[in-house]
Amino acid sequence: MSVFTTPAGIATNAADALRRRPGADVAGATFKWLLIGATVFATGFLAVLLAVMVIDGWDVLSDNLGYFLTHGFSQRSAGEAGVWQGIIGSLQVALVTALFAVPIGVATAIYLVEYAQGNRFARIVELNIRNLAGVPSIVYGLLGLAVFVQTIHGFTNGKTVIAGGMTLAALVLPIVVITSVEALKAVPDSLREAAYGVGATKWEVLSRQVLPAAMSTILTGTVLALARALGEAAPLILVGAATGFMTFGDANLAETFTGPYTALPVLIFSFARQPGADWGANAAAASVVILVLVLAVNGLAIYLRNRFEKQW
Amino acid sequence: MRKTPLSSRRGTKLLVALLTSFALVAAACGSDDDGDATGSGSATATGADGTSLSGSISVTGSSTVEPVTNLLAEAFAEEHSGVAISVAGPGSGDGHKAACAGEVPIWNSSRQIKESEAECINEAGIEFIELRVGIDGISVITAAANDSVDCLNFEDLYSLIGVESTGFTDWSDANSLNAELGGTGPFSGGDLEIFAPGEESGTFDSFIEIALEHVWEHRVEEGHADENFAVRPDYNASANDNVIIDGISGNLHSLGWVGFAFADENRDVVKLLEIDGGDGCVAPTPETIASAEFPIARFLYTYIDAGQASDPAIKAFVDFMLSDEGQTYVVEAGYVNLDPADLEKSRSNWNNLTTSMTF
Repeated sequence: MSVFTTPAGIATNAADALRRRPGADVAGATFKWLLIGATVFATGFLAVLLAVMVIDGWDVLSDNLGYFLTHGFSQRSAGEAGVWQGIIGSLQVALVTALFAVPIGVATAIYLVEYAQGNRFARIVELNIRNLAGVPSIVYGLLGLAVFVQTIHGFTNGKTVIAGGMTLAALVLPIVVITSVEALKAVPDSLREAAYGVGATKWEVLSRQVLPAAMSTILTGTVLALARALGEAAPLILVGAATGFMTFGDANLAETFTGPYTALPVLIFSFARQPGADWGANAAAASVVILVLVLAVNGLAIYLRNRFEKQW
Repeated sequence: MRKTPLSSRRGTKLLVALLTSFALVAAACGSDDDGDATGSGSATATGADGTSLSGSISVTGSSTVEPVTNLLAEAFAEEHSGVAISVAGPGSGDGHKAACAGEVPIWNSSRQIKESEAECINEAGIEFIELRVGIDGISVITAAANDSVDCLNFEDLYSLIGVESTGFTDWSDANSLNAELGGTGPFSGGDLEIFAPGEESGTFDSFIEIALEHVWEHRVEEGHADENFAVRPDYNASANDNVIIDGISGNLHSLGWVGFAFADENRDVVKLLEIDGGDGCVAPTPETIASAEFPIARFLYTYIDAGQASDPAIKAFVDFMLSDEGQTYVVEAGYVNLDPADLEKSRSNWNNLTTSMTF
């Protein structure tokens, strides 16, 4: 892998090249160095960010992790506050997000690629979906407040897990559609033609050949979209995630979906605005927790891709 | 297993498994949700509170009042583990807006509700009960041994702390600005060291709003002051009140501000300055703050949807908030208790379900 070539190695290569044909590929060597510089900067930036988070949150992560993970928000002191409800809330919201975004997103993609391929309507829809993927998340928060919290209040019961999950579903839907479209487009036509050639119906071609072939990429895209949803705070605060103390009372699991909620990114926001350095440690530790969660989800995506990837 | 041929059923199964695993994790954690945040573990069963309340309470509104509600809710949850509670603090205006949309039974505000907000709520068919719950009072402080200053007015504060004082390192540097504004100066000299809360603090916001904003806005209109910042950037900001107290007490001619409750506890090392808000110098005491004579103070309000006041959980929560024990959390959050007359009025508003603006 050329990414892991050491700078020293590159320099030797470049020097060799120059010795062989003086002045031959200076531009190429320079370009490669620029690319390496950019890579080092990008990963270095991330590494510094990570290191700062771990260092800032170290007091909590090393001494108090068990308590921190199993207790909810407390105003009394930083040491008594935890992220437990944020973890639960984030998982619940992610579940609702997946339940809405995956079926709708994959169905949209199948229609666009397999049924409406190339027609004017499909092209316009696809272009618009690609644009939607660039809309700032706070805008989806406003949409969620107006539509999911207020307009269909009867279904979501107001500012609840369902409303939060639907808001994030709307946010990641374009990502799910785009990755699914790309996945379906990557399935070679020869597969479809072969199936049609032996007399399969359109339904059989789709359900037995095309979808299974595209499933690994669709899953990867879906999981990455969920990881994106896990990190969102702004839209959730707009649709009513609790920033302060919270308990579920004696509500059962089903009831908590139509009740108040919070999420990890929202708790990070809450911790960060409390005065005092020890609250900062909480915010950093919570950031590490969410990072681990997102990395776990991304790891799942990579596993799924490797497990089911098919080479053509 | 690794070479199992790919089938559609397998892919679908995987997706289902993925979603189910989310649900299971949520379920596993969701089942042991009481006893959280307390660690005491003893008072979680229904037997401890006898009545075993259930239901839900959600509170939104002012981020200034949110800490009081958080503390109240935490203590309340220990007694009534069956009640679902959620507290949010997006801001006073957001609270009134949420009430107008009929979204919350209880909402906080760090100012009295505006006429327009009250109309909106009433037009939505909601009557509200207005309660005062505490006072956000701020003390301007210097070292206990500093004899050169006793009383400052808002113009003085602006000429020493406002954005136009940036770079002043001696009290006498502020004299020409002070004279221009009509302050009480000239000040005698002395190293001007300022210690105060940082921007993230509610006390910072409150101080600007009450003590500096009026003069500052006037200066912005006249084109003298920066329109983005009311406070000089070159002061010692700390989120830790103890650090502020240390800084103030360690510098004879220091100046700064903290929440009244905290300054009051440290009267041995800091001096609480009198403030002239236009009606003469007033010293900060619980009495002058509670009566609103002391100018750097504001009332904190909680509003309740009268239609939901009979809900057992909400009734118990508001009862607790107005109880003597509940009122201790106002002080724990750094604010000042109401004077007895105001507290009595809040209690009678609540007990008689008196609606609309009453203060």
